[in-house]
Amino acid sequence: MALYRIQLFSTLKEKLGKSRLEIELDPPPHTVEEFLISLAEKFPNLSETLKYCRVALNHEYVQNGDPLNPEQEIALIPPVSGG
Amino acid sequence: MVHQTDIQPIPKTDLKVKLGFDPLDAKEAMEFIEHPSAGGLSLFSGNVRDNNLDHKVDYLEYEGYEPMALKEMEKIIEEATEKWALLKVFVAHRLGKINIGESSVLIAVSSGHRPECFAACRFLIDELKARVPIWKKEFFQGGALWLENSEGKKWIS
Repeated sequence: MALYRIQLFSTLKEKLGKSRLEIELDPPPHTVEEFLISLAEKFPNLSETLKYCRVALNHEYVQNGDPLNPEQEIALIPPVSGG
Repeated sequence: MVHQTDIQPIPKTDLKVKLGFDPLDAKEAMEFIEHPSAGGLSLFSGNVRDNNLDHKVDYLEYEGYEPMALKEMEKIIEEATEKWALLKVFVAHRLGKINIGESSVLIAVSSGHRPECFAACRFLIDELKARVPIWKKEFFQGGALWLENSEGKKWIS
């Protein structure tokens, strides 16, 4: 079991009503992909949105197979619309 | 005939990245990229349009993951300086509420000759729209909607 602090933006922030989510995940996910699957299980109403989110760790985009640990700054990045 | 110049890294003092809530200033951007060896200067401003799809737009609100947005903008600039021989680069994005006709993003690039500044300016805005963690919410009669850039689709795994 581990505590994850996740930064939220745009649609996710609106849906959850906060800019930061603190959540315990058990068993702790080892990869980004496992992390997203765990989140979708905890929040079924977000599973569709999560499919289109990227993940950033310490301000860098990561891929599904990359490792993830709770010490890193985790952010869920919905499809961007800058410019 | 395209004039080929050696591509050199740009000193940090010749790059400027800005992210904030103040209105953007095209004059500031052009003045920053001026350089005695610059024969070509390109400026792009992305402005808020009064329409989208089938409806009128009232205004937009921009939100950003600021530390990462700055980092990603810097990365994109570095990539541009590795692809083309550039002299100075200015990229600024505004956050918060932005009204019709106002600029949300300003990009300015200078180079010795014109092919490089045209190409780099295009690259900078296209990459920014695909990658930088900034989101816009559109407000119109009857509602509000978070938009998604089509440029970002290639990133969906």
